[in-house]
Amino acid sequence: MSRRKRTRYNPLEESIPESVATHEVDTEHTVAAIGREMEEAETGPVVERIERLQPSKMLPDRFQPRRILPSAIRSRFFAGEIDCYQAAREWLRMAKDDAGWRAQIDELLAMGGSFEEHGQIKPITGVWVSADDGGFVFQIETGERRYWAACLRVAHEGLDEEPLLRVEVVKAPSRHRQVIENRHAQSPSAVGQACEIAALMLEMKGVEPDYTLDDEYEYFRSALSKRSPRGFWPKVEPVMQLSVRRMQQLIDLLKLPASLLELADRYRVPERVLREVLTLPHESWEEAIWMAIQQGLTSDEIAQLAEDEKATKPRRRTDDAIRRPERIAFSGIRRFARAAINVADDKGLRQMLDDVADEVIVQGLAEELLPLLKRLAQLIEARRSRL
Amino acid sequence: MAIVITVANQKGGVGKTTTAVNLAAGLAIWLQYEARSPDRVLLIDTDPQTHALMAIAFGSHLAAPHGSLAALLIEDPPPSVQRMIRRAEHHHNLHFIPNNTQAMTDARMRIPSLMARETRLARAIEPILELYAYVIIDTPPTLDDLMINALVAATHVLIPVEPSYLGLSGLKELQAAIGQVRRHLKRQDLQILGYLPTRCVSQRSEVQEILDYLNESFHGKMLSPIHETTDLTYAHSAHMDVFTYRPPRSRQDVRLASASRATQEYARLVDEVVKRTLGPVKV
Repeated sequence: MSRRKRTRYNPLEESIPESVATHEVDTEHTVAAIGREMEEAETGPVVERIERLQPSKMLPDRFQPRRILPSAIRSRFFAGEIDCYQAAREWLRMAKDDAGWRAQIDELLAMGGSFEEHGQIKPITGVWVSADDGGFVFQIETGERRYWAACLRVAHEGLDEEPLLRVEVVKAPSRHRQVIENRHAQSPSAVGQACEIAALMLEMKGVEPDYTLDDEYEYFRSALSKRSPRGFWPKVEPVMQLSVRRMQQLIDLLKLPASLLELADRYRVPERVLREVLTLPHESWEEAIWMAIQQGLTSDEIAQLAEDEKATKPRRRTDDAIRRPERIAFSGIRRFARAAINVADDKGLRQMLDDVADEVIVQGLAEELLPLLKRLAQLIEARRSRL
Repeated sequence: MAIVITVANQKGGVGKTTTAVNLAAGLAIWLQYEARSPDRVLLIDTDPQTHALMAIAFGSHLAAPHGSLAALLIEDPPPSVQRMIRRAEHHHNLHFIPNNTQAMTDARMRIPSLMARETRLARAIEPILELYAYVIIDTPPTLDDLMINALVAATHVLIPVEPSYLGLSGLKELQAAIGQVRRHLKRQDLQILGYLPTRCVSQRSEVQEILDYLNESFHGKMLSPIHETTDLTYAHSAHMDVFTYRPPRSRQDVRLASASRATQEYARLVDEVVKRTLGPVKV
């Protein structure tokens, strides 16, 4: 008689419905899901508290790498001589005579207007710090633009009541978070980026801002005299989204004095142009930056200036050559053409042209510009047909 | 880090509020004129009646529920305590957290059902403890969750005791409660700063007998007595602490006390509290 392998009788197999018995349970995911539930039960769901505060109970961070408030007002505001609404009123007055400030003010006023219509979507983050009067003030970590948008709106519209801004208290403010947030809003200027890189380096080295300094750029500039900490560049590459070489070029811009840094920041002078400016003698820096702003000089043209300096050609002739109306206009047309050519696809080009058209209308240039562009197009077409 | 003194006794009318107010004000004046320190004092009133706050900031002592002490106790997460803090009327370095009577009464009913109900006050004020030299907490005359919160938040307990037979009756329960806070809420460091005889009337025969009994029972823990005087009553009616109500001719000679007995006795209390909490202080 042969032995048969005995199978053990399992009564449960008979009682389990087939649909269940044949169902394969994904135990791995079930265990993971249970683990997550247990973890969440233990730590509790993350609950953030959003509060509402008036701007008068808040204070921007003096050493935020992206500077917003003009230097002429900054020192008095941070010294407590004027409040945020007085600062906003002065800023509005300054903007009447300065296109750079005007563009920024218009953007912030538009943001303030959108609060009215849609509400404030993102809260301002910060921490409570002791104030000079013995009380407490909410120091802003991220969201300074929203703060000034609200203050400018009050000043511009002459409102009596203070708005209430949504704020979130964070445990420890971080330069990293400031830099990341700056990118979400609007990519910083070259000077802003230089300050961000310096701020990240100083934070990593544990160098705290010196609040006795009159010039905040001095704090950022101090990074130039320090060795970058170990592992710094790989750590900030993903945050800044720039190559190491580019970041090193940017941080070098901090050699410019504070007044020129602010000027370059206000008008968003590109890094390439400022790099060329730095090759000029110190006494030529201011003029070169103004020329870059007013005449739209490219880095090549600034480099030409540097060459002319070295060749000791009479400066007046070079200046006259560059300042001729046709040179100024051509520089602008060339930059427009290059910007359009460099856009990757048709959708991007359409978007760019839409934005330019909007800007022309907003700035009130349409009436003067359209006839000029039409005449220029005719002249170019005429020359092209003769070729 | 602040020295947090809870003024507690579940018997009503023993002078807790009077002591909390005058001790807070006295410490604020001491810090400014004698220690010449920029440090500050914070007064917290956990009694829904808010009598302590009325004495230091009448007119600005109340706030909407969401901006009051009640919100700190029951909301989760709590609002920022820093935004609530206000300055007292007569002393620039004396701060307080405003309250709301109805909200505090509601909080008293809700707290028993909340998680970590005993530690809510401690956690709410933890972010600001480094910014104050002293925090004085006045408590209601009941041994409930509000009192327990005040004990858990404290580093020291000051117990006003009326020298009468009825005045002694609740002490045992309070001492038991302090013992339980030490054991079960892991506050082994909670100390009894002292027993303060209050509302002493020298003419009553039993007073000295009870004071002797207290000295014998709590040797080394007794503080100098505070006598019943009209200055204390009138000061409170005038919404002032007694040092403001009866100031010395000049603060230039660095004195807390004036000719008023009440100011002298509370000045002595301030001196004793400073010595027991900070040790001998070189001024």
